[in-house]
Amino acid sequence: MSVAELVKDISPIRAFKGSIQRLQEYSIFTFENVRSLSSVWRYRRDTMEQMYLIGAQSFLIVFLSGLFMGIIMSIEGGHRLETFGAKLLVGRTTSLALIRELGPVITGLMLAARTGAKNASELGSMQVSEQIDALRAFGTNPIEKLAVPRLVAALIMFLPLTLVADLVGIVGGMLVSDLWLHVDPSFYWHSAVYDLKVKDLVVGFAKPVIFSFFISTISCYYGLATTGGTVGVGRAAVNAVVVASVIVLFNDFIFTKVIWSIL
Amino acid sequence: MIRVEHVTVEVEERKILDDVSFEVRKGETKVILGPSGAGKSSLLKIILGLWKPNSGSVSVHGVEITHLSEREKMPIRRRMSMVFQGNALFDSLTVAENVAFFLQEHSEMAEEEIRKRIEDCLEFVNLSETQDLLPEELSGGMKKRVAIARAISFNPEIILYDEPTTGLDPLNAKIITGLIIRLKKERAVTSVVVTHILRDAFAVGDSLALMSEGRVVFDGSAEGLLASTDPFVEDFLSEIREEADLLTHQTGRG
Repeated sequence: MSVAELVKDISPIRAFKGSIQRLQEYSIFTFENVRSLSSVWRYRRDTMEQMYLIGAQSFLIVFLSGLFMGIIMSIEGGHRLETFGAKLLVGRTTSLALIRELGPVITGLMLAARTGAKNASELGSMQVSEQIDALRAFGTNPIEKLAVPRLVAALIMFLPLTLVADLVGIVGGMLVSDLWLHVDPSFYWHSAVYDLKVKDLVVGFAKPVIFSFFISTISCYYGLATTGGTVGVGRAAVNAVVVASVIVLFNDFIFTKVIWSIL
Repeated sequence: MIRVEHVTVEVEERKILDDVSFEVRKGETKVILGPSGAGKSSLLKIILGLWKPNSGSVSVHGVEITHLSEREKMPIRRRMSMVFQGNALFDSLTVAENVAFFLQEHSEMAEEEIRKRIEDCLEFVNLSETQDLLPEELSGGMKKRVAIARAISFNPEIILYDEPTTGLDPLNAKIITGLIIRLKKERAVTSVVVTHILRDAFAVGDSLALMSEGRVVFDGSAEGLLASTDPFVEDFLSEIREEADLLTHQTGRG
């Protein structure tokens, strides 16, 4: 490859055009997903299978992530608050941080990695081995058969998983607070749960729904757009995880900003 | 039954197909011949509506499919079938589930009827004992036969074969060409067979189209192809002539 060709190949304009094209393709793909949502009943068995794969098989990783997040938040927050003589607020700060931010974001990132990689590599392998073409050849819409069940399963399962992360985190924080900060568990629990406002719950439980939508559509898009054999499958999986993770954090920022403006 | 008219496909400023035209009549087996990279497989994907040409038109069953949306193409696709070069068997499904796939997706058939159809299709390709195996447990030739069983499960009027014998040993290749001929004779299936193997092309084809660099350089009968004086045709045929000469020399038969 000549230098001129190399420069042309890596030129920012080419990269920008490629990004715009991918964004356009992703938008059309997402629109098709939404338009095909009614097919979920037809493919309910596939949806149930995906719910199991996303829900049951992600339970442990979400459980552990939530637990450690809660423990870390309580230790860090508790010690900081103790210097101001406010360690009794540790339950409230831990639960607020977990329910509003850390629970949804950590669950989102874990599932972006796990579900995102799984979706992109599975669909990518099917794409490069012509199985997607075979589906289309047999008159089956791959979006209805493969993407919509994954989307609906994610929309359904992310919320309970986030709830698990939140609850386990709060309980983990309670144990640590009792052991090392000597905060009475019943007081911790009361300040952690009863001081929560409806706004906190709305924020905490709306985020997973939005995150799941993007994680699922992004990973399925990358999977179905895979080209270039086994290398392409690896690239699709990496891209899906990276882009979905960044989008989770970006959406978290946007959502938080919007909610603070509205509520 | 299938009419391809002036089809041109360009990918990244490179012409994959260049003004391709031909016709396949009902019950006919049309062979698309040509070296690798001639655009043969792309042509099948155009006929199936998986790809959209930059210009030209494709009609199947009298319906112009080029401008149809993906949803509008589905009913037409359900009347044809394809055997992919790499078989494209669904690797998470068993052989029986692969064969039953279309019927479970698009028919109202009862489970018992579907089971009977699976048995019939697998019996047709002589693989009755493989129902519960996964594709990864099959040999190359067996996978190809399962792909054919899957393709005929819903009695399509048209079957497209993409390099059906490539990569197979001569015995398995003969079995596959035998199946293609049987499908034409017993079920009156209209077929388009893409191959670069002349022996198989002559064995199954009623008519042949020879492609080079995205263009059709010959379209006609096997006899016409053999009699052609086109330099590319002669060059392409030299392979089979050399093979025939070698065979004659080795066996001592004149």
